[in-house]
Amino acid sequence: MVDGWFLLDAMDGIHEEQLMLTKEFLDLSDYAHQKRRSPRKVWVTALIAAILALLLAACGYAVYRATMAHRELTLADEKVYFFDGDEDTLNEGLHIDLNFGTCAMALHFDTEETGCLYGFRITDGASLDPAWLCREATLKELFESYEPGGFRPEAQQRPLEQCLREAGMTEAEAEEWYSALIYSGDPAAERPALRIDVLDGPRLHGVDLILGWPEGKATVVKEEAQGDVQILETLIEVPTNTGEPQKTLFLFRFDTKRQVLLSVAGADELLDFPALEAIAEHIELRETGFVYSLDHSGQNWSIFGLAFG
Amino acid sequence: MEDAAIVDLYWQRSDQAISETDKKYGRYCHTIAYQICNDNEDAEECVNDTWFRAWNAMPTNRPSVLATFLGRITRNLAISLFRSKNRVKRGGGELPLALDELNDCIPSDLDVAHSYEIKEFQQAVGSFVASLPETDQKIFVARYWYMTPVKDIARRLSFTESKTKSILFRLRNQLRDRLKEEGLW
Repeated sequence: MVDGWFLLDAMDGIHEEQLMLTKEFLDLSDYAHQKRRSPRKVWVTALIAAILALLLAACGYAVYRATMAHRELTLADEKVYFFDGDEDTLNEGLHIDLNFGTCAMALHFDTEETGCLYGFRITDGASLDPAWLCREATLKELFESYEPGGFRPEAQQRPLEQCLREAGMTEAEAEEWYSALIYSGDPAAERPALRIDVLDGPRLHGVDLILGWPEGKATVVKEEAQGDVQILETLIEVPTNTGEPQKTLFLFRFDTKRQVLLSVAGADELLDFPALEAIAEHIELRETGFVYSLDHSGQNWSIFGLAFG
Repeated sequence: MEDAAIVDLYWQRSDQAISETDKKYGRYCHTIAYQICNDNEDAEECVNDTWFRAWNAMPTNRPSVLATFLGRITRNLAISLFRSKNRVKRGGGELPLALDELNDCIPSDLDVAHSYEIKEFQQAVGSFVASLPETDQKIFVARYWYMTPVKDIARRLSFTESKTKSILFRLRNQLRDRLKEEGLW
C-alpha cells in the first residue's frame, strides 16, 4: 500500500552526501532537551544490551513462556474469518464464513504478537534424498516479500538489504536458511511426501492451526514435554472418495521459551513417526535479529496440512 | 577515533567497538531515534539495538560512511518501534506530522491496486534530493529523514516558520511531479 510510510521508507534512498551535509547543518548535539545519559552509563548499557542480546539469541528470545494446546473443534467454532488474499482483494480482504465444526483438531498457541523471525536448515546426517526436494521457501524470499506488518508477495517491498541488515544476516546466509521445505518423490503426486515448516511467534499469534479439514479424525500418538519443548505427535485421517482415508503424520515441537514451532509432516504411506523424529533431530533452528509482528487481517484460523501451497 | 579504526574494532570483535561508537555517534543516533519516537527510553533502546545490529553486521560489512550506516539502522529501528507501538494513532512527536505531509506527494488519482517497487522510489528520491539546491537539500532531508521540527529548521536558517513550511510544500509538490515524470505513478 502506498502511503506516508511507503514514502518514509523511500527516503532511505537519500544519498550519503546529503545525509552528512544535513547532519552538519543540524549540529545534532545542540538538542539540549534530550536527557542523554552519561557516556559511562551508556557504555555500560550498550555492553549489557549486547551481551544480553547475545545470550537471548543463544538461549531464547524472551523470558515469556508460550504454550501450545490442542482441542477438538465443535460446532461452536463454526463461524470464523478466512482471509482470501487473491490479487483483487488483497488490500481489503475478503471474509468468508467457513464451517470448521467437523475438522479434526485445532492447535492453539499463546505467543506474543511481536517476536523474532526464525529459519531452519537440515544439518548433515539427515537421511533425506536431496532429489526429493521440490519446493523451498528461503528466508531471502521472505525478506524480499516483506512489508512492515506482513509477508505478502503482492504487497510493496522493503529493500532486501534493509531486512538483512536488521536480521544480522548476509544474502548468502538468507539463501541457506528456510522457512519451509517440501519434499516429493513423485512430481505428479497430489501431495508432498514430507513437509517441514518453522512458524515463529508472530505467525502463530492469534491464529489457530486447523488440522484435518474439512472432515477429519485426529489421534494423538504422543504428547510430552522435554525441558522447554512441548512435543505432539498426531495422526490425521481425512475421508476420500476411494473409501480409504488419507493419513498424515504430524510431529510438532514447540519451544515455549523461544516461541517457535517446528512442524514435520509426512505421508503415512511413506513415513512413520520414528522417521519424522529422526528428521527433526537434524533440523537446526536459527533466530534472526529481525523483529516483526504480523497483521493477520482478521483471520484467526489457518488450515495447516501436508500440501504444496 | 577515526571511523576506519572503529570498523576495525568491530572486525576484531573487540568490545571497545561499542564504546567508541557510542562516544562518537551516540548523540547522533539518539537524536535520530528521539525525533521519531519522541521518547527518551525508546530512543535509548534504539541506540543500544543499533550497536548490536552493527556488531552483527560487521563483519561482513565494511561501511564506507559509518555515521550514515549507523544512522540508517537507528532510523529504521525507531520507525519500526514507533509503528509497533501504534503511536501514530495516539499522536505525539514529529513522525505523524511528517507522515501527513508526505501524503501530499501521493497523487489523488493513484491506482491503489498497483504494486509499487520501493527500490525504484528510493532511487528516484535519492536523485531528486541530490538535484536540489543545497539549502533545499538541507530542509528536505532535515524534515523527512531526520524528522526535525519545522521551527528548528527555520531557526537554523533564520527563516520564519511559515517560509520554511512553504518551501517544504513546494518541495513535496516537486517530488510528486518528479515521481510522475519518471512514470513511477
